[in-house]
Amino acid sequence: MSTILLFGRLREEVGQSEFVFSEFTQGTVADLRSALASSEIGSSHTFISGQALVAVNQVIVDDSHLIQSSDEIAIFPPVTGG
Amino acid sequence: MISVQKDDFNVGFEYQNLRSVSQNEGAIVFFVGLVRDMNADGSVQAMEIEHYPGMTENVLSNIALQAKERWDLQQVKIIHRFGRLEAAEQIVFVATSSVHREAAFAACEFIMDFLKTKAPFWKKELNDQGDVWVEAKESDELKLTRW
Repeated sequence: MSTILLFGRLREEVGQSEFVFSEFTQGTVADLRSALASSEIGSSHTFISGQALVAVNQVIVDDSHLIQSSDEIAIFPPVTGG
Repeated sequence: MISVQKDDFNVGFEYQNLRSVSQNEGAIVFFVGLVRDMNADGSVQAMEIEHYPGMTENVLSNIALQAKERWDLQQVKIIHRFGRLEAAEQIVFVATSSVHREAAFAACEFIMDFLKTKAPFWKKELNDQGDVWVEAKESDELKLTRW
């Protein structure tokens, strides 16, 4: 079970700033994306499992990164500050 | 060195602060970003800026550190606001100081280019027709290749 933080457009579309994702505990970011794609939240918000960026412990990581059960996970769209 | 804040900032105050801890600088360069009242699709009344508390500060600190490793800089200051900002309000302040202007100019641009593409901020434009999340621009990503 992982808690996933959401930001920006994703947070607004899903309607919450975080959600508990029981289908995932640990594995790679690619595993997380695939678990999200087949979940209820991922099927209604395809962006989550696709183009969205994934940060683990506040660092953007690629699909091969291994997520541990205690890690802070966040998913968000490409950034637009400045 | 880094401040992510809701409140506005005063450029004169920040400049004086940089000067008061002057360490043989010959140049101070600063950039101020403002909320534009127009985008490609029409008018913009205000903007809502969201960030990822903690990560945003870490990313900005890391960008400042990279700039300091690359150029001979004395000081770097980055301020970025979040929350609702009206058209023409100040969003971002980046200042760099160095013995020579070349380093200060280049580092200021470097910091802005990386801030725009790496720091976790998301902008939403607010106008009469509704709210629109700003899409990331490929041209901003391409600018990184010059570094």
